[in-house]
Amino acid sequence: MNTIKLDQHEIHTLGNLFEERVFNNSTELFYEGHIPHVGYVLTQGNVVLGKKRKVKSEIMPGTVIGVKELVTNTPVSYYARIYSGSKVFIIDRSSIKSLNIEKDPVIRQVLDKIIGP
Amino acid sequence: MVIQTQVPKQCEDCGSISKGIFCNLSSPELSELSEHKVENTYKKGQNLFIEGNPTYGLYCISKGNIKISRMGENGKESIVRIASDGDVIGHRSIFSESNFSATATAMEDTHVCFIDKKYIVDLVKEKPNVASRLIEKLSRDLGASEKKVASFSSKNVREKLAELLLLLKESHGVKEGELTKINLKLTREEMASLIGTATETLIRILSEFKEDELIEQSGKSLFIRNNDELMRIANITM
Repeated sequence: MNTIKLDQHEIHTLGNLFEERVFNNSTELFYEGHIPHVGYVLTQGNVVLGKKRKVKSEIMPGTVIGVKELVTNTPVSYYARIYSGSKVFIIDRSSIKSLNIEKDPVIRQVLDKIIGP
Repeated sequence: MVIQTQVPKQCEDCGSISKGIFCNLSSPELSELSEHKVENTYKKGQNLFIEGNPTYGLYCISKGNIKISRMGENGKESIVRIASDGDVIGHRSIFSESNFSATATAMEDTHVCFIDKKYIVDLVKEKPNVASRLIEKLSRDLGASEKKVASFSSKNVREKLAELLLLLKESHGVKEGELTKINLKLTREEMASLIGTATETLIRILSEFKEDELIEQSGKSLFIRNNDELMRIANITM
């Protein structure tokens, strides 16, 4: 699984583009072998990554998951589970397409980092 | 790990296209939709979304069955409806709320296409025929909910079970000789939840229906034998 770590400035930049959403209930963000419906940037809380029902790692706030797989239509090799109370930016395909024409260098830099140039 | 599926990739080739809200789109528009959607196969028990969590799009069921449920104040799960081929789910929440109002769980291997909220909202604004189909669906959903509320308040368990069996026959019935098989794997608990009764009561009434030769059971499958009598019990007139 491709995970990308953002710094505070990059998270702040994304915060101007996306609304922070709260997961009130724990759930799988995506299952092993699935193409993510959307990508996520964890801003607060806990997300674990695992394989075959075994937790392999925990990601920290500021981490991006699922975006590259969404863009390339690639199934993920891990599941991701988010715990209640956690907050994320949700990055969907439409947003990626509309932001892909963004010319602001600061925004462009962050977008290139999470979706590739 | 890649899940292999035989379901076609293009929306235009989907067997459920005529039942959904996108059936009036032109071929180029369906191609664009095909490129935008994300498709996955959910295994039995996997959740598409959980009640109370953020909405970010709708789901189009290409093949399979999805259980839509809500949690009661007593912590008990209550099944609201079963969504199947061609059905769209999650659509109400993206227009009216920021969180899902129910939980959607696969009842078997189910192929689902996801379309994000922004795309749907833009599509509804740009294509009046999509908006029209969505309004039709919302109206049907509302009608079905009102009918269910009326049924719950006025019918006894026996009548509600007869009505449920007839509804399942209509949505999932497959003719097998003189009988109609309900081609949906529902546990007794799930059936009881659908009509708001205890599992024990449901099992007892099902046994009565079998004794009266209204239905038959083979393994875990139920078959409708006497449609007319079930309609009479359910107080349904043609």
